[in-house]
Formats: sequence, structure tokens, C-alpha cells
Amino acid sequence: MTDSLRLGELVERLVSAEIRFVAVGGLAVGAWGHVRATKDLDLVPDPSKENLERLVTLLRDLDGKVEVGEGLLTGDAIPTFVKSGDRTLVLTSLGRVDVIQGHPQIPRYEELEAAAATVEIEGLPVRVCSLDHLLQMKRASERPRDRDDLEALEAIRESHNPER
Amino acid sequence: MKKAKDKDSNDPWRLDEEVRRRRLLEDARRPMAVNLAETIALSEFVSRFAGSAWQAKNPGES
Repeated sequence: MTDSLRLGELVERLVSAEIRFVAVGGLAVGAWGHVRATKDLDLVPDPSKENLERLVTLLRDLDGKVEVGEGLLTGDAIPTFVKSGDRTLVLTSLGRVDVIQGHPQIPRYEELEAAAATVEIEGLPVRVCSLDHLLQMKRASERPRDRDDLEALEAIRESHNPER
Repeated sequence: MKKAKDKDSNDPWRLDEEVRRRRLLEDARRPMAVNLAETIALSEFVSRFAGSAWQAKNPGES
């Protein structure tokens, strides 16, 4: 609980380890212009075996533990959860990572990747989910925060295409 | 009628909303890298702030 989120370093470690992912959630919302704090890094990984192995290795190197309800499972559980293809919450020494897979409301990695924007941070390329995909995900959500995000993102979308 | 309109145009809630929307659209026009860096910095600041508050409330715990 007392560990601070080091989001910049977390993103840097992922990109440096050549892990392919698309950032979704709060980080993507902020990148598109609705700047707000986020408590974790939400990402959709490339589901290829090699990529998931690199992701698992990094999460374990960062002393990751799998969050299940109120409990934490040791790093040994990370490969099983991540490779199962389901959503996995991992608490690392740099902050919480939400590895999103197999979620019916989230487009598949290939779809997200094809439309994603590349944003450089400290010289490293980060793939950020497209505004249209972000809107699609927010529309499908019932959480109050997502409703707020949706209102802001729709105003941003309108400003990009005022004739719509 | 004019009075009602003037009253409405000075409604603080509506004025706040206009300012909020204007700032949102200004941010949206900035390069994504600037917004991403700012989101990261803000998130890290809030996390440190929340962590300090938690420690102050739970002394001796980590």
C-alpha cells in the first residue's frame, strides 16, 4: 500500500524489454487529452508465446505478485495467470499492472495495434490505443469514472471532427 | 426575459463547465507525448501523496 507508483519507469522497463503491448485505460485517456491521475497501467499484450514470456519475466523481475480479490499470490503464479489468456492484476515494485486479455469489451490486440498511435516518451515508442477504440471501451463500461472519461473523450472526438 | 438570460449566463456551474471544456480541448490539441508525460507525472504525484497520507494514518506500518 505504501509503495508509490512509478509509472514512467514501468513503461520504460516494458518498452526496453521489447514487450509488445497497447496502452489502454487511464494512460491512454490522458494521452488523448483528458489528463487525470491513474492508479495503474492497463495494457493489452501481444498474445504471442514469446511476448508473454518476456512480459512474465519482467513482472517477476519487478517482484510482481498476482492480486486475487483481497489476497496476493507469489510471483510463481504469474506465468499461469498471464498464459491462461485471462485478465491478470499484478502488483509490482513499480506499481500495479493490469494485463488485459480475453475481455469481451476490449478489442483483441491485433485490432488495437493496427489502429494505435505511437507516442514517444523519453525517446521510447509507446503504443497508445486509438481514440475510437478508447471510446468503444468506455461506452461498454458502467463504471462512474468511465462515464466521466466518455464525456470528455466524446468532446475531444467532436473537436477532431467538428462536421460529425 | 433578458434578466433571466443574464442570470443564466452568470451561473457559476455553467461558467465552470465552459472553462473545464475549454481547457480539455486545449489539452487535446497538444502533442500526445506532452499529455502522456503529464499524465504520468500527475499519477506519480498523487500516488506519493496518497502513500504519505496512508503512512501518517498508519504509523509503523509499511
